[in-house]
Amino acid sequence: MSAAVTRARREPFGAWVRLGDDTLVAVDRRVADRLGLPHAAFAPDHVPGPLEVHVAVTARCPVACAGCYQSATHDGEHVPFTQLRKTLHGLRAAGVFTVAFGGGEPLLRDDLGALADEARALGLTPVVTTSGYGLTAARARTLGSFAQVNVSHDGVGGGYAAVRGFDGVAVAERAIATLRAAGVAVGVNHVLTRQNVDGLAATVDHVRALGARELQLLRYKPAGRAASLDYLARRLTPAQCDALGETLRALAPTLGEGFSVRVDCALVPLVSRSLPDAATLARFGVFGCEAGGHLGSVRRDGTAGGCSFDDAPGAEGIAGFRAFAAVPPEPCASCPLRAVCRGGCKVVSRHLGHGFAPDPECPRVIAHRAADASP
Amino acid sequence: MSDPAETPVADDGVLVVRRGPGANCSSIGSAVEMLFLSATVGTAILAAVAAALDPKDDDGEADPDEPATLSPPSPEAP
Repeated sequence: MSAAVTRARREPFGAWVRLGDDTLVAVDRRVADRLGLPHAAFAPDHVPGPLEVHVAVTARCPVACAGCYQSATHDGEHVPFTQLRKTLHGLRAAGVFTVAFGGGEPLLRDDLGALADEARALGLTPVVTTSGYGLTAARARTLGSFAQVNVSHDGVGGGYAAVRGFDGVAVAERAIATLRAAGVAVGVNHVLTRQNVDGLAATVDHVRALGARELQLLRYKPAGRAASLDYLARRLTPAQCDALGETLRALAPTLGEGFSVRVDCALVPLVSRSLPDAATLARFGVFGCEAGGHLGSVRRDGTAGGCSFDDAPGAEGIAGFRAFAAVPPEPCASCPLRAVCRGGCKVVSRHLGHGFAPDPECPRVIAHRAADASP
Repeated sequence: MSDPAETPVADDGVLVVRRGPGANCSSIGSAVEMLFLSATVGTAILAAVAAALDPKDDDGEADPDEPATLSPPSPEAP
């Protein structure tokens, strides 16, 4: 039996390959040769390109969430299709595998389905996140090229309104049902804050019952409109961070076939005390802060960034992320999870005045600083 | 995630296995069940992927002249 390899990229170690079920695999040179992948020459200072790139397609959004990381507005501009097409071709040439469209509200673009079709035709795997506003059955049927559509839903019991400043639960749940009816794979984006994290288990049960196949947990990040003092009232408390890892560990074996829970890059340090060794995490593709590494972004003006939350000028931001990952300061330098976590979320550290520094909300960093401060 | 080049080489040539496309526009994600994977399940996943990449005939015998299927053909190398 042979796997269907849908995309591949040679690397100095061998190759990254994507299988037909969207599993991503790194293989050594021997397997890469056996797969018949063409050879490529690499410079000694070769820097691998990103595997996944987030592309902002619009600054317009009908709901304008209180904590929107892109500061989208009702009258924001769409990115021209021609610019996005050029971006997609560039990403293909760079060997990118997954392109994640975001906004603003991508559904406000009439050509969203055509963008996904274009990405597919180039061999990219397109995904998108939406609030669900503007989705109709007819629109849903145009989204079949997406590998998955994630709908934002911040939880049951008032969690949604607590995070976004309005209650969009009905719209989100109608969107999930509409996408499912159209045969589109659906996931749910769930931003964790101190206001909704206690309802996590109930939210897992709820979105699974709605037909979602995945719940993506996101750390609340101080970018865009969320880069304010309000961040301090929204972020998880240290006690909630301490409990989150064990909550997820308890959830993992209960999920069953066909449903998955994911943590984002920025949550990795917060659950780090519950994680196994770095070698195991690396072997199973766990991503911490991959900004400027396996992850990249393309902003609305077409410039590249380390991640979609990064507002530093393109090359400066990417260089900063890479420099930190290469030579992090303590306590990251001696942390056993360094290679996977990569220092936690720099958007948080920069917002809190630390610059490119170890994530100040990581329990390991907090403990290190407390030890340093003690007489 | 660390550079796969720094991952210890496995006999089956599979360095890293990562599930799913990471379907989110704002942050790259990792499956929780992979975070807390048991050694037994982890071994089984690696073995399944290695088998899927192994060019064997239907009778299970390896054919050294047959490459694993590439469908559609692999795109360009960077």
